[in-house]
Amino acid sequence: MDELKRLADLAELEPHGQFSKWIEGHDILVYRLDGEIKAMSNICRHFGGPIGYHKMKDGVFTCLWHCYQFSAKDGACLTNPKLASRPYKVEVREGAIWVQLVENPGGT
Amino acid sequence: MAILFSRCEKEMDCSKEVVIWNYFDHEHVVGTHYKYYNKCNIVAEKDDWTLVERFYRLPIIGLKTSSYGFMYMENPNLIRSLQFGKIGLVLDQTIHLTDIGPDRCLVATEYRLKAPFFFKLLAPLWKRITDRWFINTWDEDAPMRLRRQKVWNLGFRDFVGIDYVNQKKPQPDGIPSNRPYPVQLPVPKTKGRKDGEYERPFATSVEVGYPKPEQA
Repeated sequence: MDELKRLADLAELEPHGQFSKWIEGHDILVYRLDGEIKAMSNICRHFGGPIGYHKMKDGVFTCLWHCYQFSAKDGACLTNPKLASRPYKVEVREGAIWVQLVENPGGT
Repeated sequence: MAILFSRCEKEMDCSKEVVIWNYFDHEHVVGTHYKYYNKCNIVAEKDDWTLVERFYRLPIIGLKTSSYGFMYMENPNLIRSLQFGKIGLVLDQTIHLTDIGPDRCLVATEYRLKAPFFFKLLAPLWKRITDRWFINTWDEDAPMRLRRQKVWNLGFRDFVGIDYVNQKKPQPDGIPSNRPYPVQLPVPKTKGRKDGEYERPFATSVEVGYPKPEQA
């Protein structure tokens, strides 16, 4: 299990209830859904567009570039089921949001 | 016949191949440029040419209209686009691409509008429209091109993503920053969208924006 990385202050979730940020080669979309803070990759697996450019609507994110849509619940891609967005484990502590970038540390 | 001329140029922090991808990626007009384009129809496409019908709203005068556009690669440094409007106007657009360094290029666009002679009177307005159009679309395309170059340099593959992200593995050491970017035309399309038609899902949005950069 790899260590958690501090991504941002909790306050960065406001005013939209979501934000995205680069950290160590990962672009991470953090958002609040039904009171829970969740995170998924912000890199659309179609062509690399930003999934969280638009504010989430009805539990769905729409990528800016080509309108691929993703469920905020689990990152499932509604446009192409093969292109689900990777979820990140996230923790909130000490007023900050922490994410786990690596879960398979043995990989290369 | 009058020819109204306008020229714009800017430098870009990406390779010219990324700019070519951006121009030939027709699906993005209803996404990235959703404020102007509401529909796009790829009528025919093969290798390095394409025929596209686009529906859009012109800046300044707010006119909703559409045109058929034929775009092709004249050579590796020159894209040419001929757009045929509904009222007999023909817009001849050339996009000159020049490498000026690693992941850096100059994009120079020339617009020639072929129109009835009396359109000469509209030349100042035409220049305002094309200048605004160029600036607006440039401002929306620029971050797209920069991001495309960035994810590409991190190892991104179309319809796959970035392996170390997907597989939750550590980022490999020594990812080359100058990964070659091949021009692949036509740009692969989204399967399942019927008859090459693409419509924007919404006309207005609350924009949160591109991701914040990594903190030093």
